[in-house]
Amino acid sequence: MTTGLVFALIGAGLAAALAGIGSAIGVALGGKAAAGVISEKPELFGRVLILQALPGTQGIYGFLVAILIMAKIGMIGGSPIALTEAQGLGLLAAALPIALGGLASGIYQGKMAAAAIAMTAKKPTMSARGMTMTAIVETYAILALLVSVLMYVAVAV
Amino acid sequence: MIVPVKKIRLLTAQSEREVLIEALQHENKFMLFDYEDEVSLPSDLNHELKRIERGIEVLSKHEKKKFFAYHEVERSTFEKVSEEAQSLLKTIDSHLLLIEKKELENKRLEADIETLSPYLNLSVATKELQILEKTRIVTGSVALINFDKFSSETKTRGYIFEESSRDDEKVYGAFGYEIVFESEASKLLHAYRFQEESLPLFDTKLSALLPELNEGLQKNRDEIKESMAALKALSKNINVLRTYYDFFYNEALRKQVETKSTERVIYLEGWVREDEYASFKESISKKLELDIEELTVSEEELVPTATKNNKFVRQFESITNMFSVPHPQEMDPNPAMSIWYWIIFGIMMGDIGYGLAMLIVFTLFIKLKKPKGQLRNLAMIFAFSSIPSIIFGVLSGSFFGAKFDLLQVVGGWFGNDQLSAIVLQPVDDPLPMLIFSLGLGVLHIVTGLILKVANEMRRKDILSALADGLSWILILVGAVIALFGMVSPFKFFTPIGIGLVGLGALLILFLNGRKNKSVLGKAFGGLGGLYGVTSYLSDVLSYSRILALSLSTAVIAFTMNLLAGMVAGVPIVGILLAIIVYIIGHVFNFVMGLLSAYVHDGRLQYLEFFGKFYEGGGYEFTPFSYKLKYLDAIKEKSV
Repeated sequence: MTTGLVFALIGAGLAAALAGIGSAIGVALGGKAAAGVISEKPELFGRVLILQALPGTQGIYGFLVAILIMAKIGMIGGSPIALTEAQGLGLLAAALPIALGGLASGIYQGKMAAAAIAMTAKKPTMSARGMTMTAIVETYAILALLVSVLMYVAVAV
Repeated sequence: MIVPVKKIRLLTAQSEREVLIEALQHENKFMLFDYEDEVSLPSDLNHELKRIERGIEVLSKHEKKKFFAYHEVERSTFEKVSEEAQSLLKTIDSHLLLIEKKELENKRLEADIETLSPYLNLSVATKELQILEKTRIVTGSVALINFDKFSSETKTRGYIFEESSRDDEKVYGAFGYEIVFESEASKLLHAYRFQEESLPLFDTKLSALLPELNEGLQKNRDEIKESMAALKALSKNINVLRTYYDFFYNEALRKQVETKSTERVIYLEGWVREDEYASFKESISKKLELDIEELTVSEEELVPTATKNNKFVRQFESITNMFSVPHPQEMDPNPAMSIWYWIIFGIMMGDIGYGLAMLIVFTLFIKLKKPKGQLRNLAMIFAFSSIPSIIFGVLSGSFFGAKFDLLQVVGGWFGNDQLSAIVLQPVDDPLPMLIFSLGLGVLHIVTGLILKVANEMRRKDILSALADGLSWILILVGAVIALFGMVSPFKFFTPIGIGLVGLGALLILFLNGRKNKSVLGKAFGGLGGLYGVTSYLSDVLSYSRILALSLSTAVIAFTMNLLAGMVAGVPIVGILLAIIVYIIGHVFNFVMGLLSAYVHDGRLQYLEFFGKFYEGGGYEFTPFSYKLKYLDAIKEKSV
């Protein structure tokens, strides 16, 4: 195994782990608010569940980039490629946007989701607006994912 | 399309009040003036509804559960259900009361048995103990370690202690003494910490009591069982209660309608759609005698918004209404929105397999479960969106995450394997897909701007149409043409594009500050308008989420296939494990994909699209009608 390969693996690990942490915190923040709402209004379960699930996507994006990197370096579905250090660091860099962007946006989207859940509790008909407002936070995770993917494509292996 | 709505007043004789309201509910075409979505019922009606609900709940425990239950009744049955349901409810209530009573009795019996059990060897009846005149007998227990001393002292003093039973700690029994020795006896009992226990009173001797109690217990149990069986037998009539609930609720709704009255007539005011007005008038006149007056709508009054769209567009109305109901004066955004929502949703799912799954799952759901209202709309939207999803799946060559090239397969049958249907590959080569997504975004935004122009033209505000609509269309289209010129061999496109951008910018520069009074204000207004270019830039970039979502659907599907492939290598159970991983993985991805597509497609419509032209702020035209909770439909007699 080359050092370059290790760098690439660190990148894949960071993408899945940090974005996953962001989503886990975000979903938990939403879940806490949702549990409170359901104790009073169990009929809103479906609506608040959707809102709670929204900060979960960052983890998926991080996971997605991790899989892409691991597939590219042949760690899954093939035999490992002898990466140079530069190539490995390049893939590590490609993993960083979604790792960091996913971490922060997941947490903040969770806070927004909790607020939207509280709003849904008071006015169930407004849940779609809450969803839209919550999805706005995700824009930055999507942009981070986009940069990650473009960098990933640009690193020639 | 938004349909105009008429304001009318219905007048009829006081005696016809109920006939009128019932006819309106049946017609389902008249919106009450002070319409409230949630009607609060008086407590006695609510109480009765709760009673019916409890009956339904009790019976449904015994009912055979059907997942695809569909309840439909004939109108004649619906209206005559009252009597049958009342007697059914009475029977249910009496059974429930009996069960409750017997259960309570049994609880008491069981408690008695427990307290009595240490004393069951005594050969007296507890009632007899109470009527002795010269002696007193108390029942209770003494600690085992003290018992020998206690028993000998009892004997020497001339009292009696009859032991009934003992366990690890205590000896239970009856202690007897003559009343004249009361104070000494109680001292003795006190010294040995005799715990007195008062027993429930029975006529039968304790030693013969247990079978008697058990018999009572069994009898009650049998009666409970009988009642349960009776309830179970009644459960085939559960639909009577369901029908009755809906009948009762709708009757209650009718009672809540407030009519205004003069000395002889009562009247109701409300709205009717103009396209239904004639048929409404005709059919209601057949049911009762009434006068209909058309009222004029004042300028400030907000008319409810009624829409008329084809079957496809209608499903998407609920998505617009979640954002805001269209204002009656503006253009209906639904036709344009529905097509865009449909396409973008399909691209976000972007897989032949998931498309087919959507088609099958949601078509079956609609056919078998027959959902109502928003749920039905959503299911229809998902079913419709399967088509672009399949098409885009073919173009990206993805079938449940596996590579599938339709044209190559079809070409292979005809001996030509050079063909390929795969145009875009979000995973292997995301850049063309990104450009495609952003391009789609430009088209979407331009559609919004065209609607903006149309709306302003309707309002005869041509300057606004030029400044806020046409100018940005020119800039966006010009920018795309210029970019195309730069990357393609057709270099002459570039100046044309730049020219269009310049024209648009000039329109903004000159017109945007038109509402400001001073010359300086006009100049800054124009420059400020140009600053809007940043928001357009971010709007277009926002469409990159189309790529992100189709990428995530594809990569997760690919990962699931990979995982399934890996566990398939496990000996013996490998195939089974692989199938489980495959199914769970794809169901997860399918559900998450639907959720993400629903949310992000909605966001693109609400912010990027509606933000350009849509104002909303109306309220829906919701006619007074039947509200059904348990029934799915009331079948009208076929005429």
